[in-house]
Amino acid sequence: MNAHITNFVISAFLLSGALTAFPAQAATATAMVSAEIISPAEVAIIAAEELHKWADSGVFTLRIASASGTISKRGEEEIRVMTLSSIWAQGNQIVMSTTDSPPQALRILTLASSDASFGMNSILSNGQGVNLFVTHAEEINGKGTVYAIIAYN
Amino acid sequence: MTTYVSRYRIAAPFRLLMAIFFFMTLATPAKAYHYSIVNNDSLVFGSFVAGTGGTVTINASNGARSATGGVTLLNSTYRQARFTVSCVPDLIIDCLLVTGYSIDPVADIVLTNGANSMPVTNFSVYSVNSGNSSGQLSGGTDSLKVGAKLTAGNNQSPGYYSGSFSVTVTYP
Repeated sequence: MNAHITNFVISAFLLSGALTAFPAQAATATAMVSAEIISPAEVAIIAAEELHKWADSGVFTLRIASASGTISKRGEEEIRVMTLSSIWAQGNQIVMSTTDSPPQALRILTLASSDASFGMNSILSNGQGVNLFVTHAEEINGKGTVYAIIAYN
Repeated sequence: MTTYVSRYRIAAPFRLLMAIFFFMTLATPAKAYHYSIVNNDSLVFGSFVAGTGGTVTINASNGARSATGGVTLLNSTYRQARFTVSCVPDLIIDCLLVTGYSIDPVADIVLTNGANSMPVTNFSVYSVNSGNSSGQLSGGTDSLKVGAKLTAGNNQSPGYYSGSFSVTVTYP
């Protein structure tokens, strides 16, 4: 009986040794993960290429995102002085053509209805070909607003 | 005639076990290598406005970022995590004979910012050598890229969220 017990113990010991001799082994590494949520109040550019400030007649300072169609956090946007060569209405948009260097494609401002003062809606509804002159624009709460536009043919 | 019976005689089943054990020991060469995995880049979801809530996903293979729901992505740095898997010879034995390994599923995690949190799920791993989620060494190394999906709640509190995850590779 004792011999059987001894055999059993030794067998278990050898079997466990055989199994641990060829295990699948593993290696592990850990990486950090991060994300930053920005408060809407901290977002400077609501829509890319939105007019923020006006400096002089025909010269506008625009804050635009560093890449077209993207949105930047306040303070990280690109600031560029652009010379306005022409501006006109197109549907519900104001299209600006600039002559800054290097030449930029047409800048398109989409006006919200709240910005459409001084008969803007009626002017914009006339469609293409309407010449506009921006007389006053300023930044409020990080969002550019066009206040007055005079249209003349 | 005197017959001697040893009190330590070995039973037949035990002799068989010993034979199997010694056969395996002799027939299988000792493992002369091990794998290592090193983290090279963290997983960065970048900056965004949570809005009404939604998801931000980093694609494992190309690192592209996309959003759903009310999330507005901001112009910022984002990237998939990157790891390097290598076979390291313990003796002067070539690792080139070893090519395969498996990648364990990556467990979901939670990013935290104080008492606020966001879950990160759907981790996906991309092996540069295999072009899919199967691990494959080439020249003794492989590069793994890891993406995942982050879920932000409605008006998720602004701030910097962080966490960590682990990738485990299993090799023969």
